[in-house]
Amino acid sequence: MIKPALPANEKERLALLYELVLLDTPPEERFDKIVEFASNEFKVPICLISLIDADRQWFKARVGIDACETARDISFCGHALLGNEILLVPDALLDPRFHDNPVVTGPPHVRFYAGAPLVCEDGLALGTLCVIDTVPRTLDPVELAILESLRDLVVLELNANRTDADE
Amino acid sequence: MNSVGKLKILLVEPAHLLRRTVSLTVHSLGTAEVTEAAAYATAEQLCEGQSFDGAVVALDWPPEDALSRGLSLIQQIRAGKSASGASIPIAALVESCNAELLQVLRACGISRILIKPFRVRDVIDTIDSMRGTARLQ
Repeated sequence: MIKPALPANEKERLALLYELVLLDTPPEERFDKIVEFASNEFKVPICLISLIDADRQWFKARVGIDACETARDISFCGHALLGNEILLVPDALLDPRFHDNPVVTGPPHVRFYAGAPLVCEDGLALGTLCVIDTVPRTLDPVELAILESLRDLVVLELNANRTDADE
Repeated sequence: MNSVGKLKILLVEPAHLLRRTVSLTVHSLGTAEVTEAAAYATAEQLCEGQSFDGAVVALDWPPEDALSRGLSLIQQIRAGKSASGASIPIAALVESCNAELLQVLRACGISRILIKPFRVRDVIDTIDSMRGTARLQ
């Protein structure tokens, strides 16, 4: 397993995440609706809006898992955070970054992962919108574009928090 | 079609998440130019002022009042009472479809019926399939 590296703008990224006052807050319908929609659209058992804190990933909205957070070290989303494009892992067992990750070798037995980074206007990625399956699969270009659109809608909602905080 | 050859599609769908996701995705794929209407009143105004190559209309069926406004919008287009061609391809999005509705939609020359639950992907494929029909108009 390869632990995710820290992005160069980690300090600013965390400052924005804390400014938005999202971590450890109750579920919100505006985010819950998006993960339910994405789960149905891609026919996946797990869909998450994951926010990456200093040493954990915390789920603002989730479908298909009970845990509300996991360690950042074992998170797929920590890797997705490092780029602007969707991180696509068709089969985690074949990927050296994840093949022996405890969430792959044990419950929830992740095999497929696609995570779109939640990049805010100033280029700071706060987390991901991700879809996960327990069997290998992939997304075609139209499905990737749909995931990006849903990601954009999540980012709009996150930015709405920012506007509220500014007022 | 617009000056760069993109299909101009009217999407009438009150469900925010579905409507926005279809519109954003089609925009990013560059396959069509989608004009969104969340309400039938907005759609009617748009139809008066703009010409479309095709339309995707969510139907209020069974109608809340005596008349389905979605159906009336389609009938208006078919009667040539809009800025678009009377025979543009039109797809209907419905909660469910019985024999009565099917007959009505056939009479309106609907090119495709999508019954919920359908996916964004289905709507995008439907819009793509309008390309051939629209070119024949």
